[in-house]
Amino acid sequence: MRLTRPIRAVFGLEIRTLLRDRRTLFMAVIFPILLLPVFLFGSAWVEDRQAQRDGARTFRIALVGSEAAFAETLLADLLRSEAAVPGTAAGEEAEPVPREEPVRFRLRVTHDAGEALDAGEVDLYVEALTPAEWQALRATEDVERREPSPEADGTPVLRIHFNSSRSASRVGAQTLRRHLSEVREIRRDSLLAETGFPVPRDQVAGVEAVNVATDDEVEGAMLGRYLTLILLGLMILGGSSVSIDTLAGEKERGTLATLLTSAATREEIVTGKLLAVMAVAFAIALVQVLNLWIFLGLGIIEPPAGLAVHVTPARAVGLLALYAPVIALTAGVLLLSSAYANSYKEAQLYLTPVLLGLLAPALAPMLPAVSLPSAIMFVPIANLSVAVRDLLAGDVHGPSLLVSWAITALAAGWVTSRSVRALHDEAVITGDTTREEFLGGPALFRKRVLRWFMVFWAVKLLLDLNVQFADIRLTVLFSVGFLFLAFPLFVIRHFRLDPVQALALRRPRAGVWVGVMLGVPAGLVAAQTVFRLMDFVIPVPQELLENFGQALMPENVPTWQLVLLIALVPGITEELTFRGVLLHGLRRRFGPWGLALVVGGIFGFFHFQIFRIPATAALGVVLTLVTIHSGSIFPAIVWHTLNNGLAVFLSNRGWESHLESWWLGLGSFVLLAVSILIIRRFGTPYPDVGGGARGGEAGPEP
Amino acid sequence: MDLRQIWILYRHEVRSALRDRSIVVMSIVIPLVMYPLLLWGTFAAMNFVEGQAERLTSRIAVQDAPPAHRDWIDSLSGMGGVSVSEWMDDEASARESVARGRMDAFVRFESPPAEGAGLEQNFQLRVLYSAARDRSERARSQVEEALVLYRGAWIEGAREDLGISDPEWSGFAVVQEDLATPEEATRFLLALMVPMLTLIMVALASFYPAIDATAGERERATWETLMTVSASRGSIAAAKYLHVATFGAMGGLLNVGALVLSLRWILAPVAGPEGVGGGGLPLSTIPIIAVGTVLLGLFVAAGMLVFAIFARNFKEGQAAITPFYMVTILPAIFLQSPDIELTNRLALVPVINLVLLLRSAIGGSLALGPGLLTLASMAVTVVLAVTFAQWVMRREDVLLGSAGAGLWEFLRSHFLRRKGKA
Amino acid sequence: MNREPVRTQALTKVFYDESRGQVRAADEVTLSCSEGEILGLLGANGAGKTTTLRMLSTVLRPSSGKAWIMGHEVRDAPEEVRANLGFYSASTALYPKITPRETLRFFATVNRYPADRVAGRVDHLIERFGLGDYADTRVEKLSSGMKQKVSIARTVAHDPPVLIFDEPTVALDVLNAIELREIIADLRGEGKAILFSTHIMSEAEKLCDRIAVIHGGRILATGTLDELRETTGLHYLEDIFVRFAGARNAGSAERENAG
Repeated sequence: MRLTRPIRAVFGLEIRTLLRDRRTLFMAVIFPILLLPVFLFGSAWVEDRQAQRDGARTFRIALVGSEAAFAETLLADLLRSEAAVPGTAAGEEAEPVPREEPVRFRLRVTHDAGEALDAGEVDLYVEALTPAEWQALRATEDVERREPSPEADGTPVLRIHFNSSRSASRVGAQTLRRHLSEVREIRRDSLLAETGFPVPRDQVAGVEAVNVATDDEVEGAMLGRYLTLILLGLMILGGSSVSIDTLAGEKERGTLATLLTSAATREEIVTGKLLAVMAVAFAIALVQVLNLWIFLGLGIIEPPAGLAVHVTPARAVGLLALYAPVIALTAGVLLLSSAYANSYKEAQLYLTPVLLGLLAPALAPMLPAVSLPSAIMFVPIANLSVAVRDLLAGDVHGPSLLVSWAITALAAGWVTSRSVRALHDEAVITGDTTREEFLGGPALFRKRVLRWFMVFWAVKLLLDLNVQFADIRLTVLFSVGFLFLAFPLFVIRHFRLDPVQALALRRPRAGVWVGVMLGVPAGLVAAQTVFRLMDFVIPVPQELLENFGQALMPENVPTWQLVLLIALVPGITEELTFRGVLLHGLRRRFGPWGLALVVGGIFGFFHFQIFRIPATAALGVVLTLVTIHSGSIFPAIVWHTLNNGLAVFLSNRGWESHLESWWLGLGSFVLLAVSILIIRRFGTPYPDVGGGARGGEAGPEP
Repeated sequence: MDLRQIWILYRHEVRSALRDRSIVVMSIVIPLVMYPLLLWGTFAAMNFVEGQAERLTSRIAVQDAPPAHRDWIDSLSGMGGVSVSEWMDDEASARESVARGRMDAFVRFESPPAEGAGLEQNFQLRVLYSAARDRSERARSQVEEALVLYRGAWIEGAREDLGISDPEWSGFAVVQEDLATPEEATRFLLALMVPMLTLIMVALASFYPAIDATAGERERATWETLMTVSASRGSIAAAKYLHVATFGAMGGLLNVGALVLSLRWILAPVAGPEGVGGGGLPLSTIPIIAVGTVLLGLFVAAGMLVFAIFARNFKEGQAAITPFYMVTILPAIFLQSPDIELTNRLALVPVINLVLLLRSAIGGSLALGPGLLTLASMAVTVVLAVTFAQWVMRREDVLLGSAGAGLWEFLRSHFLRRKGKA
Repeated sequence: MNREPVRTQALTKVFYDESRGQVRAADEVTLSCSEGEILGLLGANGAGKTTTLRMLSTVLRPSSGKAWIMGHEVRDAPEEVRANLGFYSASTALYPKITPRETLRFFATVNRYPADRVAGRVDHLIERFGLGDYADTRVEKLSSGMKQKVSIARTVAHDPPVLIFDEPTVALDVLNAIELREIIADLRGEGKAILFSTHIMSEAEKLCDRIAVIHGGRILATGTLDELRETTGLHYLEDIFVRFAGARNAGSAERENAG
């Protein structure tokens, strides 16, 4: 790519504008620099204080019960064993005893220990019981419920009474418990020694662990886990200061129109701006890293263990080369979010999702199971962040490294091309206000539909978590039967939609049903296959799968009720929600395939558990295609109902496992395609799909 | 001041704000859906990580295992997620394999050092692992875990042979009795979380309304329109102030509400399902949380308006407010320590006192003296801030937007002018 | 190929509107403008002036029809079109953080003015538009009159043969508007082809060589003021305009009644 004069001019303009904007510079550079030490010192202070408190704390305890004397010797034993200080016999008020870690217990004599604990006079008390007393207690009280019963045959039992809602009490109990088990170990050692066991206990089946990694590799692996995340965070912080202002801000100020009527191509404008965002993002990240470095270097703050990596120039250059596509992608995403915003304010609103979306893949190197030649190669950012970790740990996988680099670079290019497209979008440029806002009603619904579904998603999640009846059937009825019915009805009422149109309540043509009958079994197998395919990428924890199976297929529910609850009810209500109002609201924004993917994806996300999303989304895609090509919701309702019913039937018979063949899966996809084609051949297309997409321009007149 | 007029102006402000996307998102949507989203994200991530971990197998190679200790190898390979093989090559190549990640751990049976030699058939394991690899670290800990169990069983058998009885061996038993009721446990955790989150949410929720009601009006050129209506400047200021405070308090309360709805699932990993029980927010704390949130909203609104009123556009307003915002929520990090308590002295520090008041109220340890002191000190602070905001709004240069863009410039110019006159 | 600086042929832009369905914002607009000529586009708000000019400046894509600037078609060669074009409107603002000198340098460069002549061009423009006193002050600090001059200088920074002024006087006071008109007249003297849109009759009367009356997206009449007077038999441009627009409105009403 050639750096043409317009590109350089746009780049220079951006940089100059930033450097002259004192306020932005202050917020992006100076403010974080000032804030960092405050945060660092603040958390260090809190930590110190906490440590001091915990360390210097004296726990007040009381001993009661018929074996109190025994407990007292144990305690004395404990004190004597670690720091031989004379005169610690528990008296009226034992002197605080200095110990290795300065934890102190102070013995209090009380009349009623329980009362003293309630009143806060003691932090905890130990009730020492004889074995017989313990047995009697267990017979009367339901002790087991609260605490697994200890191996108490024939030994005294120490019951530590404490109150976990008070931190002194909680920490005291923990400390006491830890020390008591140390005491036991010491007693065991001496027991063994007395009875003539030949070697010390820790010499039995000993172990000598040898680390074969060099210090450099260990430190590198440590750093590599966080490096991308930290750098990415800093780059977004820095880059956003330019990106928000650059396209969205220009639209707001009207300079974008000026720029767009110049002879520079859209590509040149976007490239110039992209380079500016990249440069600033990188420069500010560097400044912040240096700032952190100074604090680390001066020893003002303690580096986390293993962070003392030696940065050689060669290493730095290598890292920079590796990170180049990451920087470009980050800048590209920032620029794109700005291109779609109409004002500075709006661009800022998009920043949080952008931040989360970019940072999430950078968490990949924290997963031990993820390493390079694997599927992660195909996830931009995640692939290079894993590559950097592996590289710092001393592993070089040349080919997969190249693939990762190329994939992230491609993603950056794609994102940038979207920005260019946004600058071609007439509605985006002219910023003409749409009439939907003041028309309200159906037109507004098309604009708001995604927002409404997002809120519905969150509300439904909250409701599902909180509304749970004793009878699982009621829960399902509420969560699926009620919510998915109430939501579309509410939306129809609120936006004054025409129910027949919004829910596609049209009579399908007869030929469609052939496709449906053919497609249902194929769809079931296909979804199963997608589930198994996804297992390679998102392995499902076994336990979770079993729990879920139980929740979905509760035992001792009559079959007809199962069919009703799991097949018919969701078949109707979920279709009304997704292939009804959602499809209706989105129909003009995408073409058939885009619609199928978006509606199916949203349908998948409403199934909440991450491992169910891919398979349900696949089913959602199919059902959306069925609705689009048949022009009616009824085939989808029937398909969905039969699909779920068939799944229940197969699982009841235990026949699910017969479906686990890759050949069957492949065949199912073919059959599925055939059935969709049949539906397409005989159906009446869903009206208005993809119409008026992009900028609201209509085609030429007939 | 005309209350009716304030009410009309107030309604006008609130209505416009409710139609602004940024405000609705920041003040209503985020406080409301943050917990469900976080919750879902956490569970999804946990499932994902768990699934990944289950998939992971530790590849461990063993060399020179004596027949007497085959049991150990069996128990190791029985651990799940472990595959054990025999290593035929020399140690140098094993070392290379581990270092390059082709193998996770290499284990060789060796004869014990001198102190351990007294025991028949005793051995020492030499484990090669790479601290640069998580998988290898995991394999090492699996080896050691299996070894600890093996050692325990060995010694257990030995002490039976030596005639040490069970009671002698265990010596005593320890049982824990947590006397905290589920309600107390819930209160304890809530006291740690609610005050801080409320503070942050109140600040976040007032942020955009404060800018919009001042700088936003200037940007849209509605500021002068508003200043020329027949309402007094005081009424306008009061309406704007109440409006921002409403959004702040609303954000805070919505946040607490959403937190309570998600509570059982947030607390479950911390306290265990039994620990939380049916526990929600103890009813008695609701009025205190409400009052505290409203007071916080009142204070934060006054502060933000004072900073935002000089800004001429949204961007300037944001830059002016951000430092105040940060300073307001900064105490949150210092208050993470659970044993800072509301004392008479701290009760005089605005914001911090309220956060501590909320904490002790929820925790159930609210003392009357510091509590009243807090309320009084907050009331004084709020009145001072409002008075100042009103005074500022009456200045002509502020009204016309010619006072420069910041509070400091404004104070400096006014201070200097006063001095000049005197 | 026609070397006329500006020519359009049945240029049409159709928008889709929720309430009104298809809206023909510009309907088969055909016009031309030659060297040293000011063509006035006279029409009420929403008549289609801005849509037409935006299509000429390649910001909007025509739905059908063609338009050429210096022989370059707007859809086929948008970059060449823009390189030959200076576009000025109330919505083309200036960058606030840079100085007039930097502004001119930036726009000359971005419009591919020969690199070795940029500095000379910038100096020339500063002198010509009398920006010398504040050439190195940031634009954000300038008064609106100063900004306007910088903005015009910006429009001609790359010395384009075609200039488009889309309602340039709409936000100006009387004195600034007069000054702007004088500058535009001067530019005509330099041989530029100038398209000038306005809804102010007197402005069109005084400045334009030819006037195109546009209403409802259609050009209803084009000609010199005298020609228009002759066609309609009316003297004042305002009356002439009302005659055309009124006839058009009545016509469409009739058609609706008939259908």
